[in-house]
Amino acid sequence: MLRVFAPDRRIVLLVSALVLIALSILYFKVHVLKFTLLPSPETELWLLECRVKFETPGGPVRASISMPEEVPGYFLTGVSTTPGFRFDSEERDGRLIANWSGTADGGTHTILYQMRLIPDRHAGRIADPIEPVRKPVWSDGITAAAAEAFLKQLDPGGRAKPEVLIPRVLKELHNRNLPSVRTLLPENRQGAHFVRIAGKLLAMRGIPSRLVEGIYLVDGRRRQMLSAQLEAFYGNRIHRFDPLTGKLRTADGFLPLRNGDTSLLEIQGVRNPKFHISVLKTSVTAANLNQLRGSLVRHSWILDLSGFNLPLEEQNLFKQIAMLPLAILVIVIIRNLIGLQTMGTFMPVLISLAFLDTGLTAGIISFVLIISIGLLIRSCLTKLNLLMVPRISAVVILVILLMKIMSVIAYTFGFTHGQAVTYFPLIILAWTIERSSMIWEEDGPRVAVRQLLVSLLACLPCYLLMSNATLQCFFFSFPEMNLIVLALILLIGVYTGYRLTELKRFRPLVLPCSEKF
Amino acid sequence: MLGKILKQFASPSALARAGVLSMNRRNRDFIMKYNLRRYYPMVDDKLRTKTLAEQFGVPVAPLIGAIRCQYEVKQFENMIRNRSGGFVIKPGHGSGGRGILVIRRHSGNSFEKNDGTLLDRVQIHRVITDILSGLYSLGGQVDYALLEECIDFSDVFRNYSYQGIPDVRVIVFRGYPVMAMIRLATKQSDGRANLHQGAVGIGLSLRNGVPRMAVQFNQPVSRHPDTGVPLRDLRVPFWKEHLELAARCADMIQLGYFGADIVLDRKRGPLLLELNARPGLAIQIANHAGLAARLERIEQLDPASHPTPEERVAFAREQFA
Repeated sequence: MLRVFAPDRRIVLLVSALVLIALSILYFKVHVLKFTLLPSPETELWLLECRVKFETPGGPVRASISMPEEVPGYFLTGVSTTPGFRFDSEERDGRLIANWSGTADGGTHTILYQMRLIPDRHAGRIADPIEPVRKPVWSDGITAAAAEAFLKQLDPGGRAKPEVLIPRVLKELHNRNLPSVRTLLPENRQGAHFVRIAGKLLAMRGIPSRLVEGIYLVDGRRRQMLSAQLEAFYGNRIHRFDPLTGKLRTADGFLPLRNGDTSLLEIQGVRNPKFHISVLKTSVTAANLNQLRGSLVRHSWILDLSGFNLPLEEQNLFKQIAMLPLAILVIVIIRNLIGLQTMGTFMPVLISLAFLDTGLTAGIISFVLIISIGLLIRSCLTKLNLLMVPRISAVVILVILLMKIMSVIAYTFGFTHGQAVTYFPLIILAWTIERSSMIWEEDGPRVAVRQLLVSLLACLPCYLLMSNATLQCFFFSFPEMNLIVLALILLIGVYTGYRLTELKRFRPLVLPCSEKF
Repeated sequence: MLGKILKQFASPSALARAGVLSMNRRNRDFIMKYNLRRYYPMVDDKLRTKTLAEQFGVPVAPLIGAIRCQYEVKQFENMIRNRSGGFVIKPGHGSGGRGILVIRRHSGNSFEKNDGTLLDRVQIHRVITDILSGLYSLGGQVDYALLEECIDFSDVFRNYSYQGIPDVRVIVFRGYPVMAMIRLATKQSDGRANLHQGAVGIGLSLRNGVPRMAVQFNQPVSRHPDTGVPLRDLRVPFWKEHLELAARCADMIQLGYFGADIVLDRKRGPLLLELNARPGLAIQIANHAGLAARLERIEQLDPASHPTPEERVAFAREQFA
């Protein structure tokens, strides 16, 4: 029967090894690093910009910003965009510490720190536990008495449940008509101080709580100040309350940045520092998101190999190259499984690469124009009896001039993609002209035009694959998929069965021998 | 509609049953396996083939000379001055009959091509220059031009070819001839003997060289499209000598799988024209027979079972009628 594949053991081993490696890396990225496999093309991405403005008489300056590594729903990663200071960052106790140091001239300076929030539903799930209640210490007997009186008024029996008591405490603490409130908060201060007093009151009733400070994720909110909130522990969970309204809050875009005594900013050698956080929402392709996720994990050789540590510009270059193996696979299929001959093995790949820049319609029109005018000129050159290398060189130069003229014409008539012509690979075009003109002379125009058409047709699947946004994104995030492409090509390399065109070509052999002869 | 299209295709299993050799399998299981790359120059370089053939007593068309450099181009006149007969200029590394110029007669500055058109000295120079610059060679590398005596082809083929010389192609595998055909040039093939350019291919029985069937562009034909002679009546004289010449080539080059192109000269008998390390598969259609089964049969043989070309030819004529 059909012996279609004749793979020896080495090929089988190699192919399975390649597939296995590719799949393990894929598994690692999806299940451990939480890469998005087949995502919606755009995802929202929050940017936090921390801005520290300060004055200095001149001299050494040292500043550090401490941010959590993860918050509920997000991982954080930061980059400094401040020139003039030495910058480094470290991770300590679950926090990202960014350090700046240097000598500043006298005057006003600004340190900028840009943080990106990378969505991940597993991030920040486990919150720091709230410490058990300690007996609150009041500054004097009068305050202590006022606290007792305040609580007695709200909850005479002392049996109110935390979910009832906490909102009531927060709300009544705003009521300046109560003498006890005036004693507890003589200066009517809000924010962190207010939350601390409320926490002390709750501790008297045995409810553990703490102060958290953070910001709200609201698009375009410039210069946010830290907002203080109260977190209390009951019913085996941490609950967060807004001290202004006393209401329980969930899923309101609040981003806790610190609790307890951690300080966000430490700065030395300056006067009058001001710290602001701006929030900005941008969108990002899933590929970029995977790229961000990749940059988050340090010291992973798999990601080092994937190129996520390269500068952005080089990564973008890699995006197109990452798609090339797919186009090459198409050529292998067209030649070895379908059995069509293209003009030059990888010419269609290179032409379709040019189509990516020019767009399909403009690309095809330019290609057909250049080749036909080139053939016309080439036929004139034939009569001059030139040696081969000078002749091909002449064709190359003529193609350059042709491109220039086409750009000018396209520009004059207002087709902006005129310049796109320059994306075509010059030498490939010149060789294509040379080869087709030779085939034209030897095998006739029909064969030449047919081969050109087949080559152009082969460009289409290459172009469609390479221009596909989902595939682009997929192959960029998972370049190891190219190992699978390689495995497929190796398998085709040992395919000894019939090509599609051979089924037609050799059909007479399965029909009865012609009677005519 | 779809059924109509599908009808134009054979099923792979039917082709496999018919023993048809596919291009992929030819390349992987035969050419790659039996033809070592380092022996290719023996067949790709026509001068080397010729020299080897003379060493091994394989008859070839007599060499006039070779032109290797541009400054030698004008010397070609000295080479042919004292020859009255025709001559052939061909690229040393050409393939598929490309760049071959056949001059039937010449006198002074007038050279008569095979098709009767007249060329002058400058035009001949241009042809040689093109050859030297590598226009017809594989990969475009610098080439040389070969001048050899024109073959005085036998009258038995007089009406069977348009301009070109009919040549017999024999596929040789491990020294055994496995399939043969004769190729006739037509007007459509421009006087060349390549099937894909429109030459007629006639499958020949290995036993006696009698035509089995004829095809042009893969379609059966019964008469020569230009001369109208019935192809069935064609007979190849010296058939055994043809096959033995092909089988002897296997001893002179270390290739396991190749095609030998043989022409019949009126006085000298069968002459080796050239060897091909990648012979095409169209010969199967011309023979209405698959190559795979025959190749597998040879593969099963003990390599020492038929040591001489004569024994191998006898075996093949017995096996592959």
